[in-house]
Amino acid sequence: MTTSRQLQVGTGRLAAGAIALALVLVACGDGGDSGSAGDGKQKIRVAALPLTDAAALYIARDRGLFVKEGLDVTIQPVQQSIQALPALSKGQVDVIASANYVTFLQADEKGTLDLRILSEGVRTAPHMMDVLVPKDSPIKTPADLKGRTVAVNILNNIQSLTLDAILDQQGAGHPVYRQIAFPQMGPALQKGQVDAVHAVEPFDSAIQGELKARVLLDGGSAPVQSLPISGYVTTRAFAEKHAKAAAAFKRAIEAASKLAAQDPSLVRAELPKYTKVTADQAKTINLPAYPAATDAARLRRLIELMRKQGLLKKPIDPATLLVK
Amino acid sequence: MNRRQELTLGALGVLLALGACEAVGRAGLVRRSYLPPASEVLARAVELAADRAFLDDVAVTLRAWALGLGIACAIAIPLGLLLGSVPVVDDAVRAVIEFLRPLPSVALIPLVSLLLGSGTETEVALIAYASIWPILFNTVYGLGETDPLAKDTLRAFGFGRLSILLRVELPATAPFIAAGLRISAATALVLATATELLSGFGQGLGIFIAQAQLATDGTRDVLAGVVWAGVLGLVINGVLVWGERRAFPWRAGARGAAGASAPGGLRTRRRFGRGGARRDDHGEGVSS
Amino acid sequence: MSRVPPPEFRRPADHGAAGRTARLARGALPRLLVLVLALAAWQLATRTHGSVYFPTPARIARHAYDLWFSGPVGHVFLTPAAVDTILPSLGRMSAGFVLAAVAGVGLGILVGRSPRAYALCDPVLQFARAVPPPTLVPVFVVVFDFGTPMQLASIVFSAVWPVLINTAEGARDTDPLRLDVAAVLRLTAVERLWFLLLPSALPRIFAGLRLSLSLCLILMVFSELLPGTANGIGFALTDAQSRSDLLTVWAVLVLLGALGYLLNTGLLTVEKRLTGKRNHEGSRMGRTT
Repeated sequence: MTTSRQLQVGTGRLAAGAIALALVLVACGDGGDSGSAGDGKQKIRVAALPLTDAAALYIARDRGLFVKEGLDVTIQPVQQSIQALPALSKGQVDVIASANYVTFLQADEKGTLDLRILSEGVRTAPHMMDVLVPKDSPIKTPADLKGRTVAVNILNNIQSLTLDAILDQQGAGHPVYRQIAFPQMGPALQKGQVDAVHAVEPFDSAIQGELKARVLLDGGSAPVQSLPISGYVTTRAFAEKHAKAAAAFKRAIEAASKLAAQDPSLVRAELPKYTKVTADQAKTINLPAYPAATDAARLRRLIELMRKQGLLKKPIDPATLLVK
Repeated sequence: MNRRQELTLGALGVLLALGACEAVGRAGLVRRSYLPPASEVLARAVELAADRAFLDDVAVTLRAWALGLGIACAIAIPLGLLLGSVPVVDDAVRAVIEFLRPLPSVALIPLVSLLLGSGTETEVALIAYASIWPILFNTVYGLGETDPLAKDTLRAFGFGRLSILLRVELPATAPFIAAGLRISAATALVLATATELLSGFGQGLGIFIAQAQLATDGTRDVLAGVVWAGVLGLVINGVLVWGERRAFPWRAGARGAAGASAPGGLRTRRRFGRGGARRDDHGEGVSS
Repeated sequence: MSRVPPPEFRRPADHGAAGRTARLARGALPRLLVLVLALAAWQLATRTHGSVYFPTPARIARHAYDLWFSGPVGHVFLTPAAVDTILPSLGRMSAGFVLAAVAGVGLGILVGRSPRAYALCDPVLQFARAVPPPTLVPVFVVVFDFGTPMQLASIVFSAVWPVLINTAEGARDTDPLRLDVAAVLRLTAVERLWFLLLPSALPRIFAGLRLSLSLCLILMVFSELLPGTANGIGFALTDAQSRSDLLTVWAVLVLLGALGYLLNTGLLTVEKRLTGKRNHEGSRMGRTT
């Protein structure tokens, strides 16, 4: 039976515990968010993937192009652009760099995001992504891929889209896709758990180097050459409320992309700073194409491809999504 | 066996486990970069203790954890008191609770993050959601175990229902609430890290691990992060058990790091034949 | 005793079969009513609010039906998609649960039998339990084959701890008086295990199993995030999320809730059968780990 003393002590201690907890919570406080514009510069928060896609962003930052346009840009890393989607739609970030179009066009179609494309990011270029097979693999031609397993980073996304398009053009059958993140493609290929991997740089070169894998197919070959892969996206709300900042951001990125296109060594110098690519790797990997201007026609090609393969149901005119 | 012997044996066990991991790591069964040996992992874990950015990450995770737990308590304890005192409401609400409880918080990440954005809000909401259940059930259970003599005595003296609740039932239930809190705390930490890992955006221990997972040579960092997560869980559990023992020393059942929290084990249970059998018990699992 | 109704409310008709039915009706009816009311409220709220994030339960139900339950009678109404999605997941989860249960009980008895072994293993066990399951992906990727072996391993590895720890504690808490009696009767180790340790630990074991089952459901979702997954409920969830297909996300959530409820009820029924209503008290006691 609980004595009255135990009751007193029990209550007292419970109260003490509750007060302690409350104090801890108050002391922790909230981390404080970015807040409004400080010194006259417009603040823009950008989520970026640690991939070659976002190089223009970092070039723009390091060369002062944002400052020149009167922007104060903070960059937050994210692993998959889908993970930053909720943050974008809730306004926790303003822009997502290297956002893959397939995911975001689908989100726009389903209504979870009101999409606006600020600027193109990268387009396919020769050997920026390849289909690799083990060096002693029996798969010798693309037609041999039919029915085999190919690893892609995200299912039903740009990689399977482009690969299926290439195979269709060559009259070859489709493979079966398995979802494996890029860093794990190497071990998977080595253990023979997939027949081929569709890897993007720098993993492409890394796997070729480590496992002496063979390039079966160039992921950027016809009919998907110069196809837009990812870009800088924002919401309609942001584009309308901060039209000037959006336009300034677009200008800065396009200027940086132009620099990147003219002088790839700039990109190679940036990569080790924000990705896990080493300086040596950066010197030799194949870079994507950095377009200096946004081309609605190419985006239309992408959307056509998506519709043909059933990834998109409604016809979307990309011109309506572009920010001026 | 006294406390010191327990601790020594425990330390010995840890050393043995580490030795085994080390042996496996160095046996060369797998590539070094894919699975580094335990000594490298530990070295990295110690290194991280000096890393400012990493410590900030850990602080963010702990803050979300504390907030989530706090909210869970704020909801679960009053609700538990209500359900425990008014059996009719309890019976009625049970049906809904039984459907909500098994829902894995993990599965809720896509939806909740779309509503609350990626970041601390989602994490806190999910932690609170998962942590409510153990505290709730333990509160209700604890209420059922209150000694009726004390309650009848106060009733005889003319105290009202609410008074009895606050003066007798709440303090008597406190040890059970504390036990529920301890269980919730452990899973809340696991959930905090896991949520960060899966939503992949923001700051935190889970984010650190997630980014390390995607690096070409990141397994060492991942495992070092795992060591930190495990040690944090151990420390928190230890602190809570110690706190429970200090605050409620008359609970003979509380012992060891995994401590039972029932009053005095199977034997004393039989003395208090409870009418609790009337409510059928859907058991309590921790869903996180 | 705060629960037994005062004499004037205890009816003689409460005993016997008729009484049992009456009690069941009194217990189940308000619950059913509340459930129905809750559903109605949900439908109404989502209808009026009309947000894309909250489809009405009617739509969710219809979508789930289209996806999974509109199949031929021969397949228990399951569509091919359901067979591909739900069955493999359930299979993996069940296999993982059974493996975790067997390993947990076996190892738990070993650890719990001797206080020394328990003290030796305790910190390591507590540590292992605090490791968040998705962090071990790189380890599993390297050690196991992609697909089912890896998923099973990740489920078993995390689900084994509650069972193990609870079993160890249950074995440790065996009444020493009974252990002495067993020694006097010169029971062999196996007899001691079967007749003494296991039964007295059973309530705690079941508490651990219940925890482990809930955990298995979560781990099933986690494990399908592992590389190389091609099917499953968790996989359907993340796939739907990456396509922003919220209706499917909701359908999967409802399915998970229903599955969890059914599994929990099933386990509880088994437990009641095995431990008997006598030990009903003890079974609830063990829930605190």
